[in-house]
Amino acid sequence: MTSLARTAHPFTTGTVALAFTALAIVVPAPAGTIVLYAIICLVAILTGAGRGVILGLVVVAPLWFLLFLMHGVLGDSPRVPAPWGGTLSHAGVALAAVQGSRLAAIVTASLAFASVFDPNRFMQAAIAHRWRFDLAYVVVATLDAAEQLTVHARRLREAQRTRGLRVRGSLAVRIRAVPALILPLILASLTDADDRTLALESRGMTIKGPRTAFDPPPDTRLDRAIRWGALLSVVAAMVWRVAR
Amino acid sequence: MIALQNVTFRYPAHDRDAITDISLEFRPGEVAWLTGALGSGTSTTLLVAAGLAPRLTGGSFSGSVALDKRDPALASPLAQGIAYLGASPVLQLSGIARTVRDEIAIGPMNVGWPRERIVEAVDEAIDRFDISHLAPRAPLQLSGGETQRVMLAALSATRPHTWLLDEPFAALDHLARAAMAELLASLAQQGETIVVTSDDADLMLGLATRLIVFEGGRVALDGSPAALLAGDEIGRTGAGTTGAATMARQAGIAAPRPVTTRELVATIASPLADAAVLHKTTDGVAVTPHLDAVLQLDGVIFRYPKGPSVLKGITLIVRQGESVGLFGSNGAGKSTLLRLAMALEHPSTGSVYTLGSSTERRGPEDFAPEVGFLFQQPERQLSAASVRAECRLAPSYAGWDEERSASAIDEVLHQLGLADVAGDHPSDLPLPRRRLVALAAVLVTSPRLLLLDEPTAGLDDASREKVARLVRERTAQGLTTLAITHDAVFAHEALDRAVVLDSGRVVFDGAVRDVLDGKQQQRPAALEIALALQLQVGNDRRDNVARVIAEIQAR
Repeated sequence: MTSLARTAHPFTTGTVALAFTALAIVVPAPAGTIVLYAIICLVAILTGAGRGVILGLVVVAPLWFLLFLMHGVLGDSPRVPAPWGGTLSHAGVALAAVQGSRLAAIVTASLAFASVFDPNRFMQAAIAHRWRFDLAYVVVATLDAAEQLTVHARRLREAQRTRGLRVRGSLAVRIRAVPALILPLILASLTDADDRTLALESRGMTIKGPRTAFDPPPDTRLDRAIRWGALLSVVAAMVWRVAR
Repeated sequence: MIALQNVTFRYPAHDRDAITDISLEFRPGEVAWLTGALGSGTSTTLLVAAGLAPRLTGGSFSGSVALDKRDPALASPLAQGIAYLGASPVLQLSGIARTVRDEIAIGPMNVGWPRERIVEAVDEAIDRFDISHLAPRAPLQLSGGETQRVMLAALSATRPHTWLLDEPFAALDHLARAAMAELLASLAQQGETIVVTSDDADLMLGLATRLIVFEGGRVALDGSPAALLAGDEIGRTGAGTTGAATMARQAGIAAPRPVTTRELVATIASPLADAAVLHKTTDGVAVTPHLDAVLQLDGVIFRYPKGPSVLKGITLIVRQGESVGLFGSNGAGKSTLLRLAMALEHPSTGSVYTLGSSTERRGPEDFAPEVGFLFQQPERQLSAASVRAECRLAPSYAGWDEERSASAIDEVLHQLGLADVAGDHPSDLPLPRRRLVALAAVLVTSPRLLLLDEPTAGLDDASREKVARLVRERTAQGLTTLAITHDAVFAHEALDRAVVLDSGRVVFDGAVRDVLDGKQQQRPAALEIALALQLQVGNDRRDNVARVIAEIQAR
């Protein structure tokens, strides 16, 4: 079954992700950002973008740990007793919570959007809305860059493994393999950039003038309502924050 | 019409011109065929004619290029009715299409056609290239041959009047090649301009109306394909000719030589009966040696996550010393089978044993360097800063000392004609030579089992012969080769046994000669003539057939 996040108009998912990101900056932390993070996770899971929540956890969990270590454990006085013995910085723990929850909300909203992003639907929508094509392509290329890099990295990794490079096993083995994978990846990405230029030119991507959307995604009333709602919620939050 | 006038072009950071003083006109209604030895300048000529070099590549340029008196470099090729297909079609995928259908719509969409016209053009392109089964698939998940067909369909959707095609047949299976050749011929008849680089002389002979042979970046010959292929001059340029003409030359027949098998057979027709008696022998018959299995697949079913079954119950044994060709149409599951053999993938059901060990819970590094693997489009897997460094990777991972590595590298570079570029960066070499570098990097450790995915795609005649000779030498040494190929001449010259896949199942397992029937697979000239002379398996390869012809001519 196709999820709501994938069937919605790509501008809608983009606007919601941007709105969540803006709210994460505007709403008071940590209480507001923790609630916001919970809402983002819930919305992502319910609309079929749950992969973004998992990816978000993978990214932010080490950061949470570092923030807690840096501010909570090594932070300034006054210090309070820790549940496991020793002491923690009271202000440091609060700061870690502020930064950690804000970061989690922004990262999860972005990754949830990226996990359901469909370059083709976005381009079709951009053309239908008469966006500048080169601008739309830059957005797509940026959002798709991680995917392209992953494909490239997988290809090089396979090639190196077929020659005998060990990339699995102990941490030492994995670390030893990194230079043999990273440097070629950077160089190959640069070569690929040249090749892509040729490809874009030969496929007419650089042609100036109007284009036709071949299969534009439907932009429903609900989509538009959600986009306006997201925008208004950000404005309202800003007004409320300023007025406080 | 495209006219090049005194064009000289040099790529950035290169110390010699890629093409020098080229003056050519490509006219509507003609199929111009550009050929030459590796690095002779054919691909560069296409880039310049399309207005892509030096505009996108950089480099120094002199002379002029005109498309109907306009400079093609002033706009995108597509906007001017030019379809340009590079030698690596996968790089021309837009990267923004979810399905093949979307990919084909990219061109018409970019030139701003109304939606109804786009739909009509997309449907027509899908029909014309017979790819309706690929339409819903993701472009990046296609096989090499499928990508080539899709790209050709995508280019055709904007109805260009000029086609500049760099090795358009390289990854296509026999039937797709024939269909493509037929299509190009019909486009030329409708007044379109077709310019093709190719090393497949047998195919191009029936298609091209004009042959232009390049040598060292210059036009060496320009004329009728049949006349040039029959003559002596083409051989001196390093370019290949047809199988029949090659054998005729080997047999000592003077120019003008027969260029088709029919003509060659007619030349030697009278003493056929005697020849058949003379050479009826069973020497060299391809008999499967009853030795150890180096690759064994038992009831293998494989499907990619969320995808349909690619392999549907494969049972296959490849024994030591065999040279096996893996045949089948584009998308039959051949590359997947090879990936399973190298432990890059693992079967959903069944088991795979490589060199006697199960691939279960093992990876390719556990089988290297005893097993060598050449990917399709191997140029995209190159990772070192020089050709020599690329070849040193596998020996260094295997713990070879410097002396042993250096000796093996020198030998393989010499065998593949790469010694002169040992210090060059692979990216600075023309695409076909990059592919040879990748092959050298695999062969350097003399793997017991060699797995090759289209090893001769895009190579010139001389390089293909080198690869065929290497495989033959390996077989003579008791080493094993399993190669996917659509190159009938390579298959006939280098391989003994054929395994044919169709929709994920083995539908034939026997002698290569029986697969090259001229219907599903092209029949090489050597085999055609061997059959006419009633020569038996083992006596039907090019050198032997040429020797027989020479004997007949001498009597």
